Amino acid sequence: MPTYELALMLRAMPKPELKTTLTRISHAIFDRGGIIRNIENLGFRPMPYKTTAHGLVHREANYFVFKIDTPTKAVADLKEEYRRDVDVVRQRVFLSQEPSKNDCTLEEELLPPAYRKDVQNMIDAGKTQVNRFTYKFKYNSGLDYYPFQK
Amino acid sequence: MSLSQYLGAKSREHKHFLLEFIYKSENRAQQNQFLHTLVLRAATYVTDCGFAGCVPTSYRATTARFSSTDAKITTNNDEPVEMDNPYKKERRQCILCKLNITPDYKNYRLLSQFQSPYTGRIYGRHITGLCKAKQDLVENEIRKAQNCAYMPYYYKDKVFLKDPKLFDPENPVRAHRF
Ligand SMILES: [Zn+2]
Repeated sequence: MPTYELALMLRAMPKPELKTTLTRISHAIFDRGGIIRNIENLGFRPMPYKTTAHGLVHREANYFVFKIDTPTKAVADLKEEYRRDVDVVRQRVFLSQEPSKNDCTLEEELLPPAYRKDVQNMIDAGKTQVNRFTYKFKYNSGLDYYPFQK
Repeated sequence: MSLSQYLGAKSREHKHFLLEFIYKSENRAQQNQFLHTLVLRAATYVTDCGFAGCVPTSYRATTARFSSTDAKITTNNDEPVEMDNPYKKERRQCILCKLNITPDYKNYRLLSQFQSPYTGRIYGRHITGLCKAKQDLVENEIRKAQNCAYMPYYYKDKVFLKDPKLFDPENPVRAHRF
């Protein structure tokens, strides 16, 4: 089961109601054989743009991030269920990503173009291409003279 | 190799004669001429024996040439030392790699620093000075954050307007294309 991050925006509502909503959301995950690793509350704050959901315009929302492990096939099902939930204003699911351990390549990128690997590859690729823009007269065209000015 | 062999002396008396000749000779020209024939072979020996004082300055310079059999070469601590290039420049890194930060869509305050305060557009690599990998990551995470309604699309959150500047859009690393 891969780890997903479920970013949820819930509508503005009193705390007990919010609690029942979160329980409902969690049970939907458990029912599909998933587990919750972590729930983050990013707080109640004004949205940067207004959003319409279930016939209402929302300018503020409760922001939550669920870190869940769930079967891949269950994700579409979960999204469909939350789309029907009137308390959910907006929902996004992302695959949780590990921090990459790549070394910084800035030094190579700041080299002059002739020394950069990608530019060198481009030049090499260009050498193998045929120049389609310069017309070259073919002498086997049936004419016994050269038709253009030399 | 003995001193006699160095000087080319045939007997012990001859050796003494030659040494006396070198050491005491008043005639500078005669001395020079004699030394000229000998100094290349005898230079080391003469110096070691304390005859350097009598050797003319023009020859003293040549006395620095040690023979390969001389033990002094191995004990010479004035020879060049193996070391790295002291003028080699430090490897430059972008700010996110240097501080080991992975941009995340939940950290929208960091991401908003890569956004124009006037149009909300993401600054390019020639302005941010990030490496390709981190710039791609920053752009993807900004798009995710905007999609999740953490960050606005067309402006920068006014709360973050006074955040410290990581770069100057007026002075890009490479020229703007407009
Ligand atoms: Zn980097």
